[in-house]
Amino acid sequence: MKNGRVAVVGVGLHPFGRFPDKAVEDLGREAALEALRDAGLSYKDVEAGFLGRVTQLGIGVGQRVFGELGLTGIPVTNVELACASSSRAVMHAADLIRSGAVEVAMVIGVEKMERGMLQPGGERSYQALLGLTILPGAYAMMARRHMHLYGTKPEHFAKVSVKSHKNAVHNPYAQYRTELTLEEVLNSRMIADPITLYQCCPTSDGASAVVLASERRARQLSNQPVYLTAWAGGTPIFDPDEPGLSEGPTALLARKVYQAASISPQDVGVCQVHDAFSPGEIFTIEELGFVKPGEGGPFVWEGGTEITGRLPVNTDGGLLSRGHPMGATGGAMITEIVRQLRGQAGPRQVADPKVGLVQNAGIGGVNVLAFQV
Amino acid sequence: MAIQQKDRARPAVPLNERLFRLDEAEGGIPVLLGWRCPDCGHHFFPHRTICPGCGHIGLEEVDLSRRGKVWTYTIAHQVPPGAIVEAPYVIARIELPEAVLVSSLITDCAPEEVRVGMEVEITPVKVREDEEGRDVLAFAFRPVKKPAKETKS
Repeated sequence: MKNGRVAVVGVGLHPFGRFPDKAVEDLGREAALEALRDAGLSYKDVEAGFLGRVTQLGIGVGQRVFGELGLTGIPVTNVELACASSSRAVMHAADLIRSGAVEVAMVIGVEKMERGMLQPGGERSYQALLGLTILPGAYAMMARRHMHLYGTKPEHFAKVSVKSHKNAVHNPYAQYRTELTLEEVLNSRMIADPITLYQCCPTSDGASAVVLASERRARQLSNQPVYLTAWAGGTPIFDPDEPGLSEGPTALLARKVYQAASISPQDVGVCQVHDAFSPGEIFTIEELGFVKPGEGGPFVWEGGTEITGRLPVNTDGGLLSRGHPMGATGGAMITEIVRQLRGQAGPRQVADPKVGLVQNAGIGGVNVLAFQV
Repeated sequence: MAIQQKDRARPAVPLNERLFRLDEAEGGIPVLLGWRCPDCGHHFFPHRTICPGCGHIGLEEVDLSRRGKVWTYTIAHQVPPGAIVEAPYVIARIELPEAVLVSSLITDCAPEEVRVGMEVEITPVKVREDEEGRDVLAFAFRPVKKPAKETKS
């Protein structure tokens, strides 16, 4: 532990949306330059690079994107964990810093996506042929199970989207910056009952960048460091008594992270969770231990996850409204937490948070990370 | 839905032989191929070689039950690219007595009639015909029709 704690010293984004005229290298470069400026560092200070990405970008994307920033000879590693790629990349960078191998590392997350519904199973599989593998369908079935077990209502899920869109109005990097009423969300086109169109995240182009440093190095920089105090990732665990409602062991990882960081759910002042579809926020705040199983719906309905609520969640609009360029999403979640903990979130600032939590889920895996000032 | 009921008089083959076989003695009803751990007794579907419960290598193929209950479901209103179904259609997770969850379509009932806990049974559905004119079949689940006298009490 010669490097001490791991700090996030710089964050940056390329706006999320549709940018047909920009290559992935352009998106990544702009996010990276913003993060380096934010850190007060130059690219020659970066000793290792990790790139989060998922689709269609070809071989060696990280080498190309980092190569745009300079040819300094650093090792660059591509990381893929579906929608949780760049948060996993941040965990690898943090492990490297904590090990003492390097003092400054940078993560870039990028994605350019086609319009329309993703088909994760591959179109030729048995399940895909029968239309069984749609992603909103997976969340919709979890939502239906939640409704059956706890009496959660479609309105509770819809309220997540209303809240997220309200938050995104104040986020200049967000893809959708228009408020929606509960009626507009509920009455939008049905995709997979109870999930309507406005409860689905969009496909997006975008990029995020996160610069991490040792505590020693962070103290030499002008920005207030935000410390990444604990992180844990995982894949599903076989449990015959509780068939999976989620992509991975979020509850177990959260307990590990709380213990490692010596915090409890009550200490968390701002939180980012994976809301690819609106029910995600309700399941996840339960799994993270903020409310008991089954209480997520009423908690959201009563405004508990609003910026002014007991537990502000997805203050930047979340995946639903900020957008979801898959490889960039984890870095964007971390960017928002860092800005909130520094008090730089402008009109969407939460009152004086000291601990921020990120939960980022990809198909078949999940990450939980705790940040503190 | 574009998929059709099986015509029992026609020769048929399963769409995916790793997932199910057709029981000719029973008129071509699909039988799901489960994998049972000889050590700890847990069942799995689809195929696994190694038991995730105890790590035993070499699971045994067993026929799974034909009846189960709807564990959860959704009514899908948008057909993904490449799929042969027509919207709206019901996607469900079916819980079998072997404590296995199986993803499946639900057929033979109006989508809004599906409920969590509903009793369902496996049924063949025709996907297409192969080059030899045989029906290529997938499996789905449909509500178990209760005998009329049961509904009186």
